[in-house]
Amino acid sequence: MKRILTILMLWAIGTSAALAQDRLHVGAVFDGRYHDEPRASETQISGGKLERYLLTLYRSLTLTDMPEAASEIEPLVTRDAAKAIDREVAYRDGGLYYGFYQLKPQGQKQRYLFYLNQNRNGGNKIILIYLEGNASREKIKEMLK
Amino acid sequence: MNTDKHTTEYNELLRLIDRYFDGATSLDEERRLRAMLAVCDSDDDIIEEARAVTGVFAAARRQSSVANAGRTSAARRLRRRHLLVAVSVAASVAIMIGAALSLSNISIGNAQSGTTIALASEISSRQGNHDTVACLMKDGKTASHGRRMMVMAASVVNMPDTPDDVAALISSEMGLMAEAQRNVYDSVADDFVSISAIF
Repeated sequence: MKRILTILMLWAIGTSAALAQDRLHVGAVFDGRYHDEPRASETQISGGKLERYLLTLYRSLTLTDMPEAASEIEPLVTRDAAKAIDREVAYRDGGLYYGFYQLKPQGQKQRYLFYLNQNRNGGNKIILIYLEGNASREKIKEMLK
Repeated sequence: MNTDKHTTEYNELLRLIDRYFDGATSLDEERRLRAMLAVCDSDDDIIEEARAVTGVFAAARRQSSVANAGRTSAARRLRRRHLLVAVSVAASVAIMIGAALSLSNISIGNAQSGTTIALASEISSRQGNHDTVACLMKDGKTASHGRRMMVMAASVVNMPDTPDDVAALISSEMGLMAEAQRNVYDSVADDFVSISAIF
């Protein structure tokens, strides 16, 4: 009886942990920690407004004149990037300068992540953009033109 | 009193055993003998011998196994109930863990709402500058005195409404990404030029 109960408890914990692993680490950046920061700008667009882009969610964070924030954000991006199915990255000045990642789809939903640290190339912004929707990689690339 | 009764029954049992072995017992006496042997707790040699001869052991075993079967099925029911309780507990724990993880999870799709009501902000003011939002709150405790509080809060999440605002915002941010990408591609092209020059 004790063994059965132990096995069932372990199964319950394992199942919950497996579900948790599908969540992104960069999600922590959008938890409101920058809401009181005057140098931060956060945007969320969802639903019909993104139809023309074949997207369902557009989430972005822009940090101006905050180069120190890269030490917090880059590790999160790197961890999610490890599971990416496609990527374009560039490193400058000893760190991640630009990254475009196509993340593992969730069912039919495609997911993409953009990261830019202009501080590594003479600029002053750190930008993180997360996209969800049915748009293909080529469609996303068109948004860059 | 009980001891005397016990002794009397024991003596009666011995008398019946003697008559049994002498072949002098009637059918009723034999039935009475078997019944007394089945319940007698004495392990005297003569009692054991009588039990062996009359087959009382087999009958006692059958009675015992019926009693055990009843006890076994009751134990089985109890075990099944315990298992059901264990499964219910495990399922409840799984649901609670899942709910706790969902609540604590930073879902990228859900914006954290502040305690203030945000007014619509200009797209142009969003570029690196914080949006100041104002909220007029009526202090519920002092409503009768008509006091009002003004609360200033820093920027909350921008949610552009019109298609033009959406297009402008996406164009602005993705434009910066595009510029960075071109920069990277130019660097790659330069590297290839350098390599080809070597070869």
